[in-house]
Amino acid sequence: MYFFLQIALSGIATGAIYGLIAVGYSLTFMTTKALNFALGMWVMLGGMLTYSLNVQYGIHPLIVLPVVTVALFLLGLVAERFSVYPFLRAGSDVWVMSTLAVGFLLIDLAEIIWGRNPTPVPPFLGKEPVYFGPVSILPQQLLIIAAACVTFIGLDFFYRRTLLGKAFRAVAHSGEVSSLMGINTRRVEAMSYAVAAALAGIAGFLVVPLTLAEPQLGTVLGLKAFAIAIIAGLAAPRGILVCGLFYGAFEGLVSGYLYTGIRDILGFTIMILALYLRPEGIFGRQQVERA
Amino acid sequence: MWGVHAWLMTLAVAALAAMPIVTGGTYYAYLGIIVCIYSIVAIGLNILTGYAGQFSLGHAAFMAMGAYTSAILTKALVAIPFFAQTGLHIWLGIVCGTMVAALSGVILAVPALRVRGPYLAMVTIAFGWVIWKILQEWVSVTGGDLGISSIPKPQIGALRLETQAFYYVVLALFLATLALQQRLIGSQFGMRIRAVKHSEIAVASVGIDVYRLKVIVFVISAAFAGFGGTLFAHQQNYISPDNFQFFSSVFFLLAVLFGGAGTMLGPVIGAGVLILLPEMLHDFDKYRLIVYACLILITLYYLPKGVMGLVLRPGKQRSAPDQPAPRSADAIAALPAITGAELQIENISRAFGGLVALSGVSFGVAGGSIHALIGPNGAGKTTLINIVSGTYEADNGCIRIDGTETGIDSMHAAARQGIVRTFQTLKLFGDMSVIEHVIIGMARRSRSGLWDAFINSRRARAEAVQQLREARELLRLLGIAHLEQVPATALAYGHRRLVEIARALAVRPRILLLDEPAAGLVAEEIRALAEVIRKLKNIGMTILLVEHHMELVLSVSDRITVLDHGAVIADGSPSDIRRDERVIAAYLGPSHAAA
Amino acid sequence: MPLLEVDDLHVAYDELEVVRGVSFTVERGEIVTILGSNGAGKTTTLRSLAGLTRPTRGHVKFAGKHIENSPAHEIASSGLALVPEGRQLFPEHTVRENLELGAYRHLSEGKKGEFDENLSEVFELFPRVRERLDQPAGLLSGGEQQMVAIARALVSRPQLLLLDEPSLGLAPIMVLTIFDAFTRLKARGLTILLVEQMAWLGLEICSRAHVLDTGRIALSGTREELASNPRIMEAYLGAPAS
Repeated sequence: MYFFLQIALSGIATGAIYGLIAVGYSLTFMTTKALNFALGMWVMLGGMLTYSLNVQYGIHPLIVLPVVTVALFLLGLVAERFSVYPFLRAGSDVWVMSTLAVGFLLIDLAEIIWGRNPTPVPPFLGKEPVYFGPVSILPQQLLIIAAACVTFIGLDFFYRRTLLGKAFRAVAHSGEVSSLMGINTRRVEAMSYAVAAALAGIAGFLVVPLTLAEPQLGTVLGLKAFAIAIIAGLAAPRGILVCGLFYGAFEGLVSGYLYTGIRDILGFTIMILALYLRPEGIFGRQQVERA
Repeated sequence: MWGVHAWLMTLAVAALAAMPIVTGGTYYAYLGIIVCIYSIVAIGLNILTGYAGQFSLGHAAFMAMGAYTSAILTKALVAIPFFAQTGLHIWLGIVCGTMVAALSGVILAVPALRVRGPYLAMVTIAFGWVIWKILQEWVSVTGGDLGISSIPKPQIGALRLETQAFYYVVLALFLATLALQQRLIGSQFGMRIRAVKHSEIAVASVGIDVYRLKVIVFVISAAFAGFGGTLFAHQQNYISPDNFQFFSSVFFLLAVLFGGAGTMLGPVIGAGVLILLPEMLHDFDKYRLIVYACLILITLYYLPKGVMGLVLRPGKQRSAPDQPAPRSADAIAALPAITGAELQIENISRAFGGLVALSGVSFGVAGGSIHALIGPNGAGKTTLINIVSGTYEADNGCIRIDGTETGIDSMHAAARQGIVRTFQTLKLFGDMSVIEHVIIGMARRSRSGLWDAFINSRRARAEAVQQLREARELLRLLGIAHLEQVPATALAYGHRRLVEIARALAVRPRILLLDEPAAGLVAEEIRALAEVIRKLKNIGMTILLVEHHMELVLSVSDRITVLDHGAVIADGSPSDIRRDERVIAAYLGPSHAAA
Repeated sequence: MPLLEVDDLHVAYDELEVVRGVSFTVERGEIVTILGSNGAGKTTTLRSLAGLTRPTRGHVKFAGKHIENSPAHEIASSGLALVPEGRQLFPEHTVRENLELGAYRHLSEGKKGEFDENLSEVFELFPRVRERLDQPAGLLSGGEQQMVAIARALVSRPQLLLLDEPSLGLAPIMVLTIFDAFTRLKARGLTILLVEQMAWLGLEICSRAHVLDTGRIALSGTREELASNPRIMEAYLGAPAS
């Protein structure tokens, strides 16, 4: 039983990271019906920047976090302008390839700047596990869970309580009607992309002490987060967090009780089946369109 | 007659054949083999992505299925002296590998093709990932990360093929693949594939099961990739999961986009350039991703139709199928008579969320008559047409044809029962030619299948001649015979409307639903349209016409039903309707002036 | 100087020219109605005025400024509000949120007081809207939705209100309530451009009207001139069979 709790708990920490990244897919999908296919590479960028600032330059994590967030936000704006915006109006799915291309650029640039060798980043809150009775958890994992919760609450507050957040939801429903309200939909689209990049950066900042700093660090994370976003439903941010946590726990349990190798095989197979059974996702609502 | 194209092709093949002899050594022969193999996989992907418009970022997995199946099978069989002497194990492996890849294509396509766009891309990525992981983890069969080594070399009879000789075999197989692509795309089946890319709804409207069609295309595509994979295994002698990573799938998609998606030679050029480029650039490996990323972006920005887009002049891409033009004397045969069906709409209701679009609508359309359905904006006309044509399902009520309940649940089912529609907002197949639109409309009556397309059977050829003749007659009926080779995108608006109608007529419907056919037409065109509608009635067809252009409605209709707020408010002859108080109020609104 | 001047407006989707040279003006404080059957180009005309569809030719001058090439959100902010066909509320937002979005410009400039003031004026016009404030807009009845849609346009304090078929799909009694509100708005000095399919309804409240037919103005005149013109009915129900 303790073993069960133990692996489920550390799985949940991983799941929180998935949720954090996955909600980025949802952000852009809701406003533009397009998404950043290479969001995992942006996680990597956040992680590598954290490594540089924290390990190489010895800057305190509390300063590193806002710097990484802002940097990724701005880079996200730039990337959106060049790799998404030109293809949005064309009504094609070409942005799948263009955002992937930007992701490849990021990986190669990272290899050139930081090299291919994985380097450890020390956990921000030390390495001593925290004990809850017999169950232990790393402080970094606690931090991740807490940070993910804070982010999600913040996001929910943004969507429900702020004027800009309401405008985001309005654009998600109809860009055209939103523009009649005087909302600059173009700006909302670009912002949603940038916020997704910033969230990915935060995820990278949080996860890099658990993995290692290396150019491939985000690829798998991004892919799994995408799977989670799709299983939950791209238009259901709250559902994404729930799914992320469950998926993390599921992975932990599969690795713990079966074996690690089969983890992704099961996970992705479930994703394909989930899409078959519920194309809008578990938490997504079926859209009834009037022709 | 040999055109420039044929000469160029011959020249290119001769150059490819002479290449190993001229360059000497095995290095270039080896590169040639790799380019051919990757081209085969890219051609498979091109059929799916370029022609049918469905993304896949998991084609490396199909290649892996082919490669591993063939490698494992041949390694097992080579111990048997019979196979070692005859070399049959290799060819058995290639066939089985291709089949296993096709089979896995079925397994993926059935769930995956329920979704489209980015979802489909994601599902294929996930599939690629699963296969890749299985290759790594199932060590007892796949050898895990170490892969499979000493895969039997290709041989014919007892003769083992070295690189140079194998090059010729692979070259021949590659050319055969290219020819297969050409046959497939040029066939009636290929037209349907290309049409799916532009409008799935319109393809369904002529009675084609789009989902099934897409699954078939996916499987063909997977088989090509698997076939390439088997050749790869025997060439390389050694395979491992590394060969079939996600990046390889991206590579194939890039090759197709870069070369020119939806062109015959695009995938070949793409694969060739992308393989040879790194060989030519020094120190390339370090910047491999950057170069590929830049290529992707440059292609998307500046070459939306790929390299082939630069070569092919627009409009020149497809020449007419070289069938003899019908002699003018026997050309104008009348269209065969049709027994128009009687349509009975009974108590149909439909709500969207809380909004009631139709509540208990009933009326009948007599067989062989022209029946108009009119009403103010938002009355529910289009919803009703959508229900009758199987686009939506009704919440309540039923539709009867000649007294029998239809139970139509999809558009292609409706078309198969003889109910065919046109669309208010045109749904044409992009730059496909006028005559191709009409021929696609005949799909339901087509007898030749996929196999006929691949071997270009006598049946397929006879049918093509027959269809062409019939299509031309239809175009003549509509007065657009002179436009048969013009791509739909280049047509004037009025002509596009007529192409929609021609496509629907090609199905030979017993009930034709015209959804605002006069929208956007000028007075002259509307008169011509009225003429066409009357001709169709003379043939015997039943016509249900949704239209707001009252002059057209009044001049052609036998009977008119008026909808308002989702209910029938009047039903009668044109002169009755024009005088009906409720109709006038529905159109002009409540007012004191009504008196 | 007229508040709105439309000069030789042409609008096309793809190759299909829907509006083919429409010119008219709207003076401050009047209601002008555009009539016409389905597909005559009425909605397209309004959409291009609001910046949702770019005209292929012609000029639109609003309060002295050319707006034919301005993006929709700038036109909206400059005081031209469109109530789109079919109401088009944000169904998952509450009624209050819909109204807040309507006043997006004011609220994003921090003018909360102004918004509250406008809100109470709107409640005076449609008391029912106040009762529904915290419900999701998608759950309201058709008539209530239309009231919210008009209220959402009014809270932005527009100089010109464009209404696209406000009677669409509503029960007759609700239609009369809504049209009564337009008369009261006019009395308060608001300028209105109304597109309506139901001719008698549209004529009753306007000072001048134009009849669109296949993208051109077929008939223009004052209310009195048009109300007695038999061609109005022909435009909808065709010429009497000869």
